[in-house]
Amino acid sequence: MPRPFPAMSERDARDLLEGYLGEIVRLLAWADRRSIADVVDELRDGLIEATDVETSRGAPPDAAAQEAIRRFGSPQLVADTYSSELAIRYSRRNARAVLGCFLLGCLLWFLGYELALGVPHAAIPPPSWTRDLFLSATTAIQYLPPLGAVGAIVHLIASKRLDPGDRISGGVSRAGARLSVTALLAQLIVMAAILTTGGPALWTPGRTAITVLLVIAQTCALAMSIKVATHLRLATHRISCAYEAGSDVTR
Amino acid sequence: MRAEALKGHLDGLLLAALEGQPRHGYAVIQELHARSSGAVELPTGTVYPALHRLERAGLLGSDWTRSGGRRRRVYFLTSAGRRALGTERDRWAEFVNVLGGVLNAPTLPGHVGA
Repeated sequence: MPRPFPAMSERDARDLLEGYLGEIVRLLAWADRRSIADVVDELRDGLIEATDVETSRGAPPDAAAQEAIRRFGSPQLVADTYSSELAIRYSRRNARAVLGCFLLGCLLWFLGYELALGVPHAAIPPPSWTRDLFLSATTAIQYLPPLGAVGAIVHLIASKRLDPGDRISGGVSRAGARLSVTALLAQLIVMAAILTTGGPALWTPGRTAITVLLVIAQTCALAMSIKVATHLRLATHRISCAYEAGSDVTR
Repeated sequence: MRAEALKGHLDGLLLAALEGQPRHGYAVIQELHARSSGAVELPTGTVYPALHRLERAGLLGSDWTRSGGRRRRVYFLTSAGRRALGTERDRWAEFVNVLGGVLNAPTLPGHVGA
């Protein structure tokens, strides 16, 4: 009996594959464009290879494409496992940027503020609580950047071979990220304390420029640190989704 | 063989599949399939992130090439990956020895129900 409609063409099979990839792209919409493009290009290459294998065994194009898609797994499962890996990569990239901001902050403070311009302790009128706070804050700001940098380094080391299902390395990694966030928040508060208690003595053009740069660097570092922590949480969540799907084969 | 049975061994399998020559993701899956006579069956789409994880760990490297007008990512073993594969093989041999000693040992008369 003749078929009422023509068999699916290779183009239709290709549309099936593109529809599958489109669903994965939709689920990975949170990631950056370049990462998504790499994911899609890699998956497309594999899907076409798999379809060609099925076609060479005599399967019609539509059945071959459907079998290739079945073998790759549901878009949700594929997107979840990719999301987990992408989130860890982003967290590592941001942690490196945080480390760079910390180093920049240290250079600005120690070389620019303390050595080149000098902290005007003498200009703060004694005795007063503002002077005490100013002196405490200038002491604290020396220790906070190294502390935050240690957090970023701990995260980078722990996450190098991080498997999102590994609770120990995941816990160490998250602890490092939280340490960075805490140190950065504290650093911004301490900087605010220095600026408000230092008074007019601090507001020379050189100090103002360095202060602005410091605030920008540390605010960027804080934003990236928060992203590091968010991505780590996302990585753990996505792998949990894969576990729930009962198909976690990423380890 | 279901994916659940391979948990904990996937890294070693992927490294072994890349030992002979660099391969793209689907070729790695085909190599696993061929070496296991079709017994190893994994949701293909989840193998790619596993390859990325091994790359992050420094055990694999990858290059983008072009094939048939498509972009193709080809993976290769790094020296750290070769060492890790050797370690995986040693662990597996020890595992097989230990379990084989227990599972294949004949039951001695007089020990049953003792």
